[in-house]
Amino acid sequence: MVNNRLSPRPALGGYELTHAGIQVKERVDTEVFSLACRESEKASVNDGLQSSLGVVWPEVGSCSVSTDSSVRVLGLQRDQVFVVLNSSQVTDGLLNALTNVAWCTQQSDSWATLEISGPNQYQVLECTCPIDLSPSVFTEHHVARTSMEHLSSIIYRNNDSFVLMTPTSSARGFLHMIEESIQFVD
Amino acid sequence: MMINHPLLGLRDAAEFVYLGDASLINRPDRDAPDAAAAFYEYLHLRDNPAGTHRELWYHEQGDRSWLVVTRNTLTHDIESVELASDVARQQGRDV
Repeated sequence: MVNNRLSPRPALGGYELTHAGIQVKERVDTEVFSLACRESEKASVNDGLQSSLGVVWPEVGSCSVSTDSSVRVLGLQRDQVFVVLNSSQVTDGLLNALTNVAWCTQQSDSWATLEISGPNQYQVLECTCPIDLSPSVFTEHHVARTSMEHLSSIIYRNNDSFVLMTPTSSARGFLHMIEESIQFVD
Repeated sequence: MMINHPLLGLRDAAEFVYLGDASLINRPDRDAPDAAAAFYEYLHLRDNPAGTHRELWYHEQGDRSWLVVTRNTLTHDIESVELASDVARQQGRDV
């Protein structure tokens, strides 16, 4: 009898690239949870998030980041946020806490996450991203769900780099778009 | 074209999907005595103004909100942008 075992694999195979002052790296240790609630439940959900994770339900387009920066909540819609954290932080206790505060779905397998950094990162992103990413406009506390070359994406700033999330179903096409943009950077 | 989203600021029109006349918010009461005539008008009859037009746009590649955009069809100038949920509430709807 064949003993087949399934093991998780990153959507982009742990992709890494350094070119022309730009570093692109797939984040393979990120977990994503979607939380949704009714408008009337926001206050109690907020209390639950505050006590369990030290974050709040952010406004649309904003992030809430825990004091130690280990948990980030992305305000994507008025009734939906994404909680992004490190795989090592996910415990049964945390899952129970999330499930208790709002409608919670595990979305980690649905999203590929790329981090782009380096002095020329803006040159890559200005070819692809329709959002104004100027440091004075798009700060650490902003997030945007948008489309890049017609592909769905989420972007936020993480210190000196940008994090791009895209559905795994089209992640290879998204990566190809990023690679093509990098070729235009001197 | 840029649309000044009430919550997110200026966003590229490519992020949005256009639906049509904002009168689609006002779905007739199916139990009303004149429901057949009201639905005929609701589904098939549209004004086609050369000038100010209120229309529904969906922020599909964004926060998934419905907007009522008031746009001049002659100049494409956008005069105002409102959340469709706010417009419906102003009309007494429970959304």
